[in-house]
Amino acid sequence: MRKAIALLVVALSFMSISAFGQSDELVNTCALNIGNATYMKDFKVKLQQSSVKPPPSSKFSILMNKGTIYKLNTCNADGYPGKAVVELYDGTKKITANLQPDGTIKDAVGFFCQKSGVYKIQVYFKDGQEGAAVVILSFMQKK
Amino acid sequence: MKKLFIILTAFTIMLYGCGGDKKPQQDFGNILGDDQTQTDEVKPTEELPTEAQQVLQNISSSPVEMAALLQSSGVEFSEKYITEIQDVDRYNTDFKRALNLGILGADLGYLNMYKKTGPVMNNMQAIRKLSEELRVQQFFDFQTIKRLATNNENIDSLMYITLQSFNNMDTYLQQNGRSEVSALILCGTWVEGMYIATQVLKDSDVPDPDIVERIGDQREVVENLTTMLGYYKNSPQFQNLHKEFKTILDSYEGVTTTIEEGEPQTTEIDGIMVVIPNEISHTTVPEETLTSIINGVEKVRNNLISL
Repeated sequence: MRKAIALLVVALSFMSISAFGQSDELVNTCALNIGNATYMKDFKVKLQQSSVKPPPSSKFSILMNKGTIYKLNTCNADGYPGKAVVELYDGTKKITANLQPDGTIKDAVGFFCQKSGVYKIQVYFKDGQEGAAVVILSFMQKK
Repeated sequence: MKKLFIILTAFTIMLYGCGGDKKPQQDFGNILGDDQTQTDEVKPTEELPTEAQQVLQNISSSPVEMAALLQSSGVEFSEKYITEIQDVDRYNTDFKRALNLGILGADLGYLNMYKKTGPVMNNMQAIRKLSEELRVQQFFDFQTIKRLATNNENIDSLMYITLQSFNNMDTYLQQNGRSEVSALILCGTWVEGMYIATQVLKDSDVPDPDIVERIGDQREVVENLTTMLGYYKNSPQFQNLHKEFKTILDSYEGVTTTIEEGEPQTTEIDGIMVVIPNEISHTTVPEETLTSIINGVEKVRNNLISL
């Protein structure tokens, strides 16, 4: 998967006529990190600096299916201080997040869905800093 | 070494030639899709109400997930499950085009998942035609797709680029006052995914329990789709489609879901920590209900392709 997408990214860089614009460069780069999973969707987030607590966030809904392993990979855009924190919710219950108890932020988190339904993805930037990021949702079928 | 230097220099020049000056801050206005504003003279006949847009956003899902389940369950590929592409010109309204673009999108996901690149080109030609007529062809790079489809080694890239094209198109439609087209594409995609899976069950001597449960779990989706279509009170076409989806929803009578409380766990897969939550759902689909769903989906799907 990585090799194939890497080739595609290079190919797309040279294309003069392309359905992809600059808009998807970070998505293409980030998709290199999904390993053996299958790309499903990407979420783009850009938020201004804020001193409000909790910091402003972007929320997305996604239908997830029982028996599927989902991965959330995060890539931050160059030139912005903010580091994206991604949280996955089932209703109001937080299932997982890339922000660790020690304050570090992981590039990817996984979720093995055991209950089909609509889940929420919430993205904000740590300490309310200005930031821009892409979150890639991918999946692997568990059998 | 010299050769490598020349290649790297040429690569750098080409990149700068194509991309212009490098900015210290990545152009995230573009990343967010601001550059995708296209001229579109055609105004939507009816804008989706806010409540329906919320539903639409809630149920967006991947057309390849169902195909992935079929493949991992050991189901063999069969071309008979996908739409026979004959004359897409007969889809002469945006309503028909959008529904059938969704259907073809689901078929494309199925073909890609099974690495059937041959039929992909026929499928893409039909998608090209419909997307041009719907004025969303700018999201499909048909040249690259054709190149990838002729090279089986790049099947992952093919899957990636086609899925991303559909996602970008969907985002554009929703952000540019054409949510009704997005809704119809979604309905088509969902029905076709369900059609393929239910036909697999119909042909099985012993239905795979995971596929049956996935079909049962789709009740929430069909509830949402039916609700969403119900927001269109003034369009006879939408009213008819709403009736069609209501028949599928009615066929779900008898499906039950229970939640089992367990212990949350974490495990490492592919180098990342994966959370396994403590709630496990169990969906039961009685045999007669399954037959009713299979028949209901088949009828609606066949109606949609013969519009």
